Amino acid sequence: MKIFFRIVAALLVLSGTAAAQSAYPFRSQQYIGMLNGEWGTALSLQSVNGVQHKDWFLGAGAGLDYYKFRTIPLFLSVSRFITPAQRSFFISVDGGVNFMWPEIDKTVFYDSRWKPGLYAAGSVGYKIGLKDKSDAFLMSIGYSAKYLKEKRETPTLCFNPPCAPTVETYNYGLNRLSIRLGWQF
Amino acid sequence: MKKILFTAKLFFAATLAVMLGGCFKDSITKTYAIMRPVYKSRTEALAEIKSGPSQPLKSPGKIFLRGNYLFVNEVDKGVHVFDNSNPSSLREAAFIAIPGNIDIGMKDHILYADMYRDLVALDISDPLQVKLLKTVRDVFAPRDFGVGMAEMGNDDMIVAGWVMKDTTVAIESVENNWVCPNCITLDSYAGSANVGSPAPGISGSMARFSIVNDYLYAIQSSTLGVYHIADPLNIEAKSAPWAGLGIETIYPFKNKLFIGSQTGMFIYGLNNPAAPQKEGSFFHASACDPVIADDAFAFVTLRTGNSCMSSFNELNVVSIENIGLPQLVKAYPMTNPHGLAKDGNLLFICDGKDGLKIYNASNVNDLQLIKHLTGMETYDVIAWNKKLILVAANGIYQYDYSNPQHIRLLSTVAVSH
Repeated sequence: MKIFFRIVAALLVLSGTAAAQSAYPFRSQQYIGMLNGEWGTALSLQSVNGVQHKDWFLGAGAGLDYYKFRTIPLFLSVSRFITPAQRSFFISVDGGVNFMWPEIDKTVFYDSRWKPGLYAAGSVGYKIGLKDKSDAFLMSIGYSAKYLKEKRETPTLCFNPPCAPTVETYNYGLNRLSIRLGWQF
Repeated sequence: MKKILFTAKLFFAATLAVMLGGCFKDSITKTYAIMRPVYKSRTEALAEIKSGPSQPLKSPGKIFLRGNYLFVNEVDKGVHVFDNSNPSSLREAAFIAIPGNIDIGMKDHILYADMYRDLVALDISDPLQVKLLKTVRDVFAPRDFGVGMAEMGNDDMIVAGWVMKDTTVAIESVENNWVCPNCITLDSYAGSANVGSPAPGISGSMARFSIVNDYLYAIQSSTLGVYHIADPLNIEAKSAPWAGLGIETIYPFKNKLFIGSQTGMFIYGLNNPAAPQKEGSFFHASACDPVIADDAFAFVTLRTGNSCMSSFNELNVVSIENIGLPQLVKAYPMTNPHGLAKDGNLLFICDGKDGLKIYNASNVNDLQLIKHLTGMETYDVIAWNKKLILVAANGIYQYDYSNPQHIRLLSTVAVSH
């Protein structure tokens, strides 16, 4: 996490100097997406903010991922635009950590403790830039994975306390197809 | 035309993408402990029931106080015998190995204990030299060790221990994974001790069997087993009236048995001690509920956090002046109440992780909290002669409550990890 925040700070510094130097202009990408996998289809929202240098974009992102569990991914994102033209294909790689945002479910009588897990994604996309502006429409398709660990403690029928609960550990590896539409400014 | 073609391509691409999504498979694994039983012959286990050197206290269960001795059940292992002649220095004198034991009771110099389904009677005139007098088969309900495994029936092998092994399996859906045939958890499905006024001993409130005069009353999941124990060498089964589903605890008071069940409290009269008669019932929402009583009121604790699936954590005060029609007087919210005890107007409640609460119960409509001891997870309590013996997750505590405002710790026995 420390590394993530250090990189975010570095990006902020770079983008702060960007206005003066314009070699590292600040870019913000806002995505709405669909995640589709074995479990079903879910919504994804992401905001990636960073700097662009020539054909490269480096940013830090956060989002909401509703696939199977509601999670908050924090990640770093690197994109390479194939050409510097207004219209260009690009490839993008994201890597970071998923944090569980548990939803309260009063129908279960076990306790869950969650550990964050890996978040990773890779995609290819297409940018349609507006004339004479840095604003652009983005669309991408790719693979996205999120990993989580749940430690579930279920109380046992107990007339002679203290009684140890049943402890189960679940490891979730969720693999999805990711389709995103975004806006860059 | 171009726009239509573009839209069609986009639609085709989206459809293809959604279909491709089905190619991505989730990977979910579950890791849990399999408990494999280690069996021992019944003959061998019975031969090993004797006093031995003291053992570390690891999993304290039921407690029983008699004279200068405190008996503490070590769940599934046996009974610690503590010399309490000096309450400021509780000292373990011996350990009696009884596999599968979770309940203890006593009459005169005879200790009655469960050994899984069986009842054993031990002569403890000298607690350091106990003698096995009698074994009665199938007095208690079979133990349930979790989904997929119950205690073996009437063969000659008993569970002497467990070997734990972690196992990881791939599962397709967690939501549909409630049934796990190999998941065996070692829980405690029975428990307790007793007190009958003529029997010189005091137990906690979580008892599953109780001795009153010459009779032992044992909870058998839905029946109340009655055994005549005047002669410990000739224990006779007398009757087993239906007592309701999910019965849990039994508390004798005067000529009555107060039975706590998951659905309510039942009061049995002992005018004919060989065949107790139900005299009254008080029903509540499903919950686990130890009960104690005095002349006018019964005190019932309801708790959540276990498979009783209760949604209540509270103390119910029930009027029993009309035994045939017990009435709720007042309910007090609690954190996670377990065992309780009463001495005069003082009411002691083990409130789980919220410690021990001491109330002035002179007015049951307005219980006054006198003292709240925190920092321990409490389960059961005995209050006797201004001495309080408390079972907590981390050990046994003994207090002097001569002055309840300033309850004084006398001694502790810590759980050994």
